Amino acid sequence: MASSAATKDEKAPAAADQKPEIVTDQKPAAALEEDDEFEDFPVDGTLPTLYTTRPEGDASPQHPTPIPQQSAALLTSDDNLDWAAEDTEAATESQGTQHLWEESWDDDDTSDDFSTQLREELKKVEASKKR
Amino acid sequence: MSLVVEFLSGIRRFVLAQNGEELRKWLLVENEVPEHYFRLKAELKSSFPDNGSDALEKLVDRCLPEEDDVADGKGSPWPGFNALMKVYLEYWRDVDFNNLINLHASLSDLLISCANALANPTYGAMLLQTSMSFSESLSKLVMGLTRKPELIAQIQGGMAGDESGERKSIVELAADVIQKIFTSCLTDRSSNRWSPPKGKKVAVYLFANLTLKLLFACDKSRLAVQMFTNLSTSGPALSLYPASQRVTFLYYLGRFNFDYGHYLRAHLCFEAAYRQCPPRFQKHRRQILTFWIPSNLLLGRFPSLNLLQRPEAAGFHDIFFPICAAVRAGNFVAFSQALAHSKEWLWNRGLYLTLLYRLKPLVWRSFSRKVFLLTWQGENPDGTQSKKMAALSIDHLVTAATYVQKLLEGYVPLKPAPRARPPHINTIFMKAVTNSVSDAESDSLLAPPPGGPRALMPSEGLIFGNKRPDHDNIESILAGLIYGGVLNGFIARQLGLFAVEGARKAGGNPVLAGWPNAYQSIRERFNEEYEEAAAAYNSGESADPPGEVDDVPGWVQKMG
Repeated sequence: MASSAATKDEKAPAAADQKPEIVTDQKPAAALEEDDEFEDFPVDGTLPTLYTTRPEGDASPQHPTPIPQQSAALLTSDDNLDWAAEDTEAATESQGTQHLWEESWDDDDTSDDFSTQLREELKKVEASKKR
Repeated sequence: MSLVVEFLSGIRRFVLAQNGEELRKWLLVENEVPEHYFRLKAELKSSFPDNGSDALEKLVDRCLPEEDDVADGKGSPWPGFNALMKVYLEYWRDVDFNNLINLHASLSDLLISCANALANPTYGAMLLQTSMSFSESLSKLVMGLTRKPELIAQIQGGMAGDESGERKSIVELAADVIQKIFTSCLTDRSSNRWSPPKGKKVAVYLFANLTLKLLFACDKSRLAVQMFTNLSTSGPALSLYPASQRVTFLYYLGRFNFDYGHYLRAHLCFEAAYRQCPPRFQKHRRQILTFWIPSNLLLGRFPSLNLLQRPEAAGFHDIFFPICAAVRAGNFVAFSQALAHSKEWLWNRGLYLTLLYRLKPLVWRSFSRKVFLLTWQGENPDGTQSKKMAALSIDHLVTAATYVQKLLEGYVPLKPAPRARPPHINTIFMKAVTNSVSDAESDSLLAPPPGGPRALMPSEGLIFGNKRPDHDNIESILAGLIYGGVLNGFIARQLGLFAVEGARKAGGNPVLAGWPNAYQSIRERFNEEYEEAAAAYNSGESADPPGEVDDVPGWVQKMG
């Protein structure tokens, strides 16, 4: 009993090790990843692979794709998903954040085409009213 | 010894050792598992068929007896855990990975059972990892199913409604169970709101984020309201959690506020998420920017070139720059072209209609400003400063708006653009050309296009489809802009004017006075609203204190 339990014990992590390969195979076809999901942050340098789906038109049974269950692992390896504040924008605030947004963008130029057309139209309509 | 007994003995060892990680590794639910899970399945099928017998339950209780004397740091099976194990073994006995409908039902049952076991205040915490992995599997399945309407219909058709006869969607049901786990974590008493999380509290934001991911993937973000309310009331401070959880949570909280039109709150969340997300996570930063930039547009701020040149913003210049240029110029034609240019990208992210409708007031602001610049004569003919009150004629604005509406309808210039006209053209000839169009349109520089004006969708017109802007339309638009704080002045109805206020205060500059900085006036409007709420609270009119002006409900920042 003890020996077979130990075998099982060894097998489970081994199976987990193989999983990323399976996922890698499918990755190029997973168009869903194109920009539109906020992915889980990677752990230990592995790519985030949760919720990858099979490509459209794949006729094979649509059961969930095997994936490493990363978030669950995160519970015991918190260090991996935290990072030092020095890495972030917050630490280098003086260098750039104030240049991220333009607040004063009003345009006083009235020589562009659109302004010229408007001016002519206003003139014309005014003139026709006086007629 | 049978495989089932062997399996349960292994589980017992981990329970006694409170080893949550090993429990997760053993309690697998997806189909890519070592072969012995399928042997376990075969054994369960033959020894414990689904025939109403309680043999399996008895076996579980025999293999997982409750311990009498539990040493410190050790664990013991508890009734909820044994119930979970029975459901787990039944899951493997009955599961058919090719039948998504049954898989969904059994996985849901399993997660509910797990949530119940997790609720145990003494030992529940050892099931956190397992709850997480079950929740992820169910979310993944549900997200896949939402793309298969024919299967959804079958699942929903087989479900009984609740007492009110109302049926919840499968997304709602899955989110409900995950939220139950979230609540278990939230109410864990091992640590308080303001100290480093212990026990189940460590997983509060992991489950919050998982729920949010599911809800957003299925376009059900409104269902997150209850969770944010619970967090506001009793949630632990977000700053006590790892950076990746903070960034993910703030991203979704920003999306939520964006979806519900609170762009200042959305901006605050995205700003904090972006600034805490290091540049090496380019995809995450890009995803945040995708919504952070629109939030700022709607607050009257444009992304700087500095921002648009960052690697995570690749391609965003082409999308957002034309929109900003059109808002800046007050050019409705360019505005609709800029949105049309990126329609698919914007639409897929739920941004198109929001920008189309919510940015329009800023285009109107620039447009009215432009017409004022073109028509206001601040100087007397002798060059001295006019003493007249600075004002914009509503009629002028109607004329200009009508011109723009005609452009939107596809009208074409009657004659070459004015600047291109050579000076020697015979004015009599010009007159003849002008007179050749119908009388109704002869007062304009534009003529209807061959084949007649384009029929506009309601959203494509300046007011509503092909409705020509009239005095009342323009007056109400101005009133809206004044109320929103982006125009400073009042409507003198008798005179048909928008009268600018505070020109003297603005150094005699009526443009600056009447059209104050858009971003600052929008922020000022938020402050006013906040002060109104605070005043209502102080005078006893309102029971709820308004919090701080930059509070975002659901974002637990400081001691309340």
